[in-house]
Amino acid sequence: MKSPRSFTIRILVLVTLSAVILWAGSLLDPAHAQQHGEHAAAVDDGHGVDAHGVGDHHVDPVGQLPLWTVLPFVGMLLSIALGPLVAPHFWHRHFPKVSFAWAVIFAVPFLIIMRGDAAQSILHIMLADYVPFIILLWALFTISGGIVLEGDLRGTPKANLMVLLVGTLLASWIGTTGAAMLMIRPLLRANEWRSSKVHIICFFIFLVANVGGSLTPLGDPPLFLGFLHGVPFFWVTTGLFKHMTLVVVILLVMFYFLDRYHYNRETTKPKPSGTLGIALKGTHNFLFLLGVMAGVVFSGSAMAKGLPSVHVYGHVEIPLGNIIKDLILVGMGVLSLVTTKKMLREANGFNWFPIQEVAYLFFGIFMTIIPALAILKAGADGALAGLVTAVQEPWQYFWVTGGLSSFLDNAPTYLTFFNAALGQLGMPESMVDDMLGYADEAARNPDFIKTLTAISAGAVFMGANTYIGNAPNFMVKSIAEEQGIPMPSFFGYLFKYALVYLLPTFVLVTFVFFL
Amino acid sequence: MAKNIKTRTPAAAYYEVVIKGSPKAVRGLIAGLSLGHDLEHCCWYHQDEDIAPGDRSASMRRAAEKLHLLPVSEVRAVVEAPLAKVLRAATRRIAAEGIGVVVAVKRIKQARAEVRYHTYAKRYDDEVQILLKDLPRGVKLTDLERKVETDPEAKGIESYTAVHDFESTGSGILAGRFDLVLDLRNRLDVHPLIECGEIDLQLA
Repeated sequence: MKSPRSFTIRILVLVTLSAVILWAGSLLDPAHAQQHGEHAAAVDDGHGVDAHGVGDHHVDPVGQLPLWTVLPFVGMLLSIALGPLVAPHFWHRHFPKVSFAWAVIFAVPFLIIMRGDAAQSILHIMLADYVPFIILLWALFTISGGIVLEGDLRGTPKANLMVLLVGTLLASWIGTTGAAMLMIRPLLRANEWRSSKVHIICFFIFLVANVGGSLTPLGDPPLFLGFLHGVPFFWVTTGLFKHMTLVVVILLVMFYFLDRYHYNRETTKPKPSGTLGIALKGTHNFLFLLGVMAGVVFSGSAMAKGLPSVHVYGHVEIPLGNIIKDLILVGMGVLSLVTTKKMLREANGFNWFPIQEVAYLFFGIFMTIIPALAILKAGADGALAGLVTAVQEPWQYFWVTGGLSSFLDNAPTYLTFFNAALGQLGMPESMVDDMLGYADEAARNPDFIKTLTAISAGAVFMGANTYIGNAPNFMVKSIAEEQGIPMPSFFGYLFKYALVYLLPTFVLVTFVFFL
Repeated sequence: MAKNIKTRTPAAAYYEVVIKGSPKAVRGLIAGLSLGHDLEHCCWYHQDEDIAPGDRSASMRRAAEKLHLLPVSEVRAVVEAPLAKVLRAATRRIAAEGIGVVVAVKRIKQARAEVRYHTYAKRYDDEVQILLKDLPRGVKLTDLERKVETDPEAKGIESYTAVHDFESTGSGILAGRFDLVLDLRNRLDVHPLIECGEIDLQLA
């Protein structure tokens, strides 16, 4: 594990290099950037420059890039998917270099060829997506890492069911990573005496590390990316509630009977203690979590949208509301760090490495995703017109987004299909809340609502299909293995658990909601 | 039946018997003969105890039977010497009564079982090593392969690059007297981090 100092130095190097690249890009064509910014503002249709600083209604030259420019993005995603499986120790040591290499492979030619447009695209995605994304995950991770659940739970089917249910409900509010980190150790302690417990961990991955994160943008990274791109904070709370409830109920029922079967086969069972000695420590951190939620909700509010934007460069502007939100989030994280006893974090096995991983890897993801998003936004005019026209129905979005989210990281997958859906409708990002019926009931678009629901559900639910679908999956597997649980291999998990329990559930979800 | 091994005097020799016929009838026959000669707990069926046929040519057939591709047409079992003697003596009568045909009664020279383990924490590796060193007299752990990898940089929780700071893998072959190997294999197999293979019989 690298020291925080080493991490800070690396991040500074990344930021400096990015700045140099951008500066070089602007030097190549300084006038072009300014001109482009004016042009974007001039052609915008009254929405002004959108919440993220991009005028949606001009023809984005980046969207006209050829298809092969998405190869670094594909390489980046495949590296994340295959690195931990094929060469885990190499990947663990060198993943920052791999991520940076893919970023450079894309960024340097991009800047040389597209100059000011490229510089603005990079700056925009870094400031509008990458930085807020990292800040949110850092804040949630820091705060939830200060809450500890201790107790004398006995791993009965009912107790395990309760732990899974509580973890599932918490995941939407403290993030799937935070909920998994909070609940996994008590669950492991409660079941230490049991000989069959692999299924408990697999269902924990299904529910706490994935499906549970469906109800807010804080729950799962894809939904936060949706929020950053105009989806109102509470839209998923109502939009995915039915879908999540169905999946959670089915999985919990399956889990209960499976666990009861294994429990009944245990030859020695500990005597019930008679008391339910559970203690939650570091509870003041829930206040900071509320602060995080308040900050995020504020940034999506009309009040925040009424605030001016800070001009950064060319047509890149950052809304003041977003800057205030990020400052609130950082403040909440710092307050948690200052006010939480170190021993509580130690009890959670807390360290900064998971956030360092996210920071390094998503730098590469966000850098290389630029052409994919722009091409998808271009819809039928872009190089991915085939994909945009092939995937049309909500059930197709559910399975394609979900299928890819199973094997690639679900956050970029969500963003890709979110843009594909917009491209298909020929709508700009600034119209998202209108189409969802939030800002203007008349502009409500039922097709878009169903499509976005399918994309969101696919990305969040199907991240559970494999260990590599969502970040906490591997974390849970790793912690369980270190506690002596023989977790199944990649394919063992897929064939013995995901295909058996998740696949039929998702088929049912398709029939109930998307056909 | 294996659980009873420790409570009685072990037999000096074990035999693999192969009897063609209906599995139910053959099992009934063996149970009857055992009771009649006061030789209970002297028989372990291959199918129940995960024992591979001593005759390797029968492996394919057994695999097909396991997959229900072929009907089970013979019963294989390991029996103690006194019961083997009884079965030999009754061979003609068994055939005459149409219960089955005793195809073979062969002495077992040695039993073997593969053992594998994979741990991700030192304390579990220690636990496994203690179990593997605690061998009964008459059983050896051979062909031992052990690999321990430590990576101090991998300590702590990770999500996208999950590796362990400690990892040990190992394998070996338990070899020795049938009853002892079977008992040890069954005890080790209960441990969640140890996987044991089927019992291979080496016939005399």
